[in-house]
Amino acid sequence: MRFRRWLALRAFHVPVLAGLALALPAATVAETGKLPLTGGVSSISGAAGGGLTPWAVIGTNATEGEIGVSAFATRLRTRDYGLTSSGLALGLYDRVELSVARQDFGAAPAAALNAVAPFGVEPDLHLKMDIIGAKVRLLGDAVLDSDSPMPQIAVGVEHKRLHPASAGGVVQFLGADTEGTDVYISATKLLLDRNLLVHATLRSTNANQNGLLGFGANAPGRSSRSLQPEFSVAYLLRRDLAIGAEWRFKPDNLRALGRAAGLGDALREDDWRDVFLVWAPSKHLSVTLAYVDLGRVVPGVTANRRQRGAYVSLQAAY
Amino acid sequence: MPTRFLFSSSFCSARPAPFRPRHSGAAPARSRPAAMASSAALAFLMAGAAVQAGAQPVPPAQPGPAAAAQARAALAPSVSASVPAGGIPAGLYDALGRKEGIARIMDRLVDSAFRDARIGPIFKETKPQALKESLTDQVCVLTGGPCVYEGADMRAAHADLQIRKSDFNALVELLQAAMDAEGVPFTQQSRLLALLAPMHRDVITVR
Repeated sequence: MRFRRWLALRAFHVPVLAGLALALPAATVAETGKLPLTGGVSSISGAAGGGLTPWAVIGTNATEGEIGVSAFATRLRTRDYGLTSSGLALGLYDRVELSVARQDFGAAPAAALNAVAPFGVEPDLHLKMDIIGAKVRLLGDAVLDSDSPMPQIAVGVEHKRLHPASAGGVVQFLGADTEGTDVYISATKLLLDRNLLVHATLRSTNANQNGLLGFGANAPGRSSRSLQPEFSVAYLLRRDLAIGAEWRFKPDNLRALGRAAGLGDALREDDWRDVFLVWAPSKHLSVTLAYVDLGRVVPGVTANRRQRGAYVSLQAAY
Repeated sequence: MPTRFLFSSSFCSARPAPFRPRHSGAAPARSRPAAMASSAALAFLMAGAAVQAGAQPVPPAQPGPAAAAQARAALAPSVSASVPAGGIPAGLYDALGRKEGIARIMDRLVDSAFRDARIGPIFKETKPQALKESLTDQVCVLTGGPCVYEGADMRAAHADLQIRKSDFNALVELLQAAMDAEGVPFTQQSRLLALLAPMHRDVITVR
């Protein structure tokens, strides 16, 4: 399929392009005029928002009448896993956002699954996932409509394709698809006089661990979509500095399947949460540090440990 | 509430927006065109037409339809500054340094706006001192200070200028910098911005 090949090619180039865009001098791009931080940062899926959830804001530094680009690189390290994500976003007229991202999920503990069945998982397993996203702002202005409770509202779609590498057998065993599409609606509001940003997203998804374990599951696991809410709050300490927290609810599609296979809660999935600090040393650069709790991720191979750890993300936006 | 006033005023109708103010250069004295340009620049932040030094605007000598419209715009009494949307935020007037502090902030704001590469050209026809005084009165009234301000509504005042959202944002940044320089705490800065931000609906003419 042509689209898939294109997607794969794009995704392959994402880290290179991200590097290029980070190095792009401001002079080569027309001046763009969002207020600092009001385009959010890049979430791990590539869409503008917080770290784990997309916001209703349109990414990049471009406001009405302008086109902007942004690039990001994120590294998240928990006790047993590591996630690297990088990508690009294009902001069109503060109305439409297009994004691509590639995730690399280091999941070495998954090799222990070979004890369950001869899955052939290699010791240094790296799952990869490509994400292509689009978001459209429907109405509202999250920042300037400060005399109204009306938030900025956007709808978005994230199409994801998992490359399971040597974990292909595991994904097959789960009965999960390697492609899936999330759709979401987001509402974001900056309570300007209080420097407080509040945000909620409602996502329709059948992804397991955001898609890193595929989409859906064999019965008695759940293959169908479910609606999952996601919330963020952020408080602006200065106009270039914010702290906040996020909570992303997730489905638990695989748990019942794991139980039926005699694995207990080995495949259970938890919500993702984090607390974060964002600093924008310039209009074109932001640094996000977070402490992330991914809950249990295939706890059967990680001694039931919660996956907590540090998250760092860099974003350049024009 | 500024916008409610605007929508209920007789100047809701949008007029065509050529880049230069109409009659630019037509009048030798700083009568109508100067007042309009000044007010437009002023109302870039908020309503205002009485920027002409110390005088109520007077109708133009030769009233064409456009001039008449401008005259009405300039003469429309402003109640827009008297009652902020959510009431006057307690303590904000004092936090800005009362009228003297507000005057210093507006002094810095206008100076930096005139110098700014992005938005400086918008103020080409504006007299800086009159703009400073008018802005000071406006913010003073908005924040509950004992000031008087009379001016036109924002939509009419801006109709002749091309102001994009990025221009509006640029002015917000300059205002923040001016308040920084005057030692206004960030939390108080945001309370003032929350009063001014909704004006984007009338100030931004290029959508």
